[in-house]
Amino acid sequence: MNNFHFKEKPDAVIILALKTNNPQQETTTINSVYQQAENLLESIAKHQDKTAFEQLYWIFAPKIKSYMKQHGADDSLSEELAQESLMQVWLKADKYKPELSQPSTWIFRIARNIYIDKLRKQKCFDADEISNFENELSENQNYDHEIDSQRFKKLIKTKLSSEQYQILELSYFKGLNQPEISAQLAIPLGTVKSRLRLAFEKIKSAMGGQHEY
Amino acid sequence: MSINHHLNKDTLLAYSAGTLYEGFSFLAKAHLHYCKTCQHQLDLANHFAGNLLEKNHDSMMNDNSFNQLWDKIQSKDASSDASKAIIKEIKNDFSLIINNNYDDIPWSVLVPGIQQYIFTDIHCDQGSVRLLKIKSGIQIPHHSHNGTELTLILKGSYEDESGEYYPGDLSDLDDSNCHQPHVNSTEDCICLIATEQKLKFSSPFNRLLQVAVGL
Repeated sequence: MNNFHFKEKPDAVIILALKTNNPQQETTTINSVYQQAENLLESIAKHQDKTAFEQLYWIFAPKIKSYMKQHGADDSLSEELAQESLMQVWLKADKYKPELSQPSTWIFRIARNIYIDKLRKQKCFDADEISNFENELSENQNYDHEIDSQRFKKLIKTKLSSEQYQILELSYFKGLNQPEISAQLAIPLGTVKSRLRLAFEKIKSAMGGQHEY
Repeated sequence: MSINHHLNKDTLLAYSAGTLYEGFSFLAKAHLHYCKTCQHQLDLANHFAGNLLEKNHDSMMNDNSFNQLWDKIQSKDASSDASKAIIKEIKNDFSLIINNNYDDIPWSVLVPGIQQYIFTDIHCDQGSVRLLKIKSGIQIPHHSHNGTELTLILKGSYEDESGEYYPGDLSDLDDSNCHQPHVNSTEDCICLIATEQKLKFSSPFNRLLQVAVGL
């Protein structure tokens, strides 16, 4: 019954070709790309900087397109939804607060909301416009992307069991809810829940270090 | 507001992934509005997801993909009217819950002692999202659930087998839980309930009652 192809855990990709306005492709390490994303967002918010936006586009749109495809959209719809996500990034760049989240977390939420709206056909209750209570939680995080990325890699590679990772992947990349995961993997619903709870504890202990939870 | 009952971690992760039914998301959002603990934990789940996105593989984009988008941004006011309308609608439903002005709600009588208001435009699989206003001293008959039931207390309080619930507290129950909530506040208890299936009452009489009132 199980035709789900379990993707391998992400490798430690450290080199990424970054397409820029410049016809020559620039190669840089993945961490500096994501550190740079914060500056790009700032340039977009402050100066409506098209060049910065294009750079940010080529970092995130191909990943969001994959995300939409993983959720079952075909190639052209996935591209459209990736474009729509980046359009929201352009429109809302002034609402991004670096002290609250890293760019990829903020952009994930935008893409996830578009997935909920367009593919799940639900109203999205995460919309920033509904309430701005997140802003009250502002904390002065001393955020270091390098450290964070190391922690994430360690979490994926050594802390989470393959069963826990598989369930997280089915949730985050296949959009399956708990009863669907239970059916897909032919395991009881209670097991799905307990694996998710254990996975959360591991995420918390591995990545909660820079925050107070 | 001191909150002692929270979203289960699996529900929180599902909220972050976007896989909850609409009604559960609505209720989770309302709890998150009050609960700093769950908000922090959601931030952490989203942070994890942001890292997942960074490590996701790239799909090939069309060569003119960016220019296409740029033309679109240039050619019109890009924030679409449709999304504004949806946000307005959500705001209305949401402010109904968090503004503490429950007298303005068009309540209807469910059974003597219990009034309800159903959010007809918020879907929750086979179930529903509704506000209940329960008179002091009322006990809801013993029941379990076919699936998950989330309850958020907005006013007053109740107790059941798992403890006491005050405003902001959330009860996150699945089909393994059976309970019999009893309103123990002197004022009415107002709570927001989302279910994915109909409730499963333990006694035949209550099942008859259920058919009559449509719970």
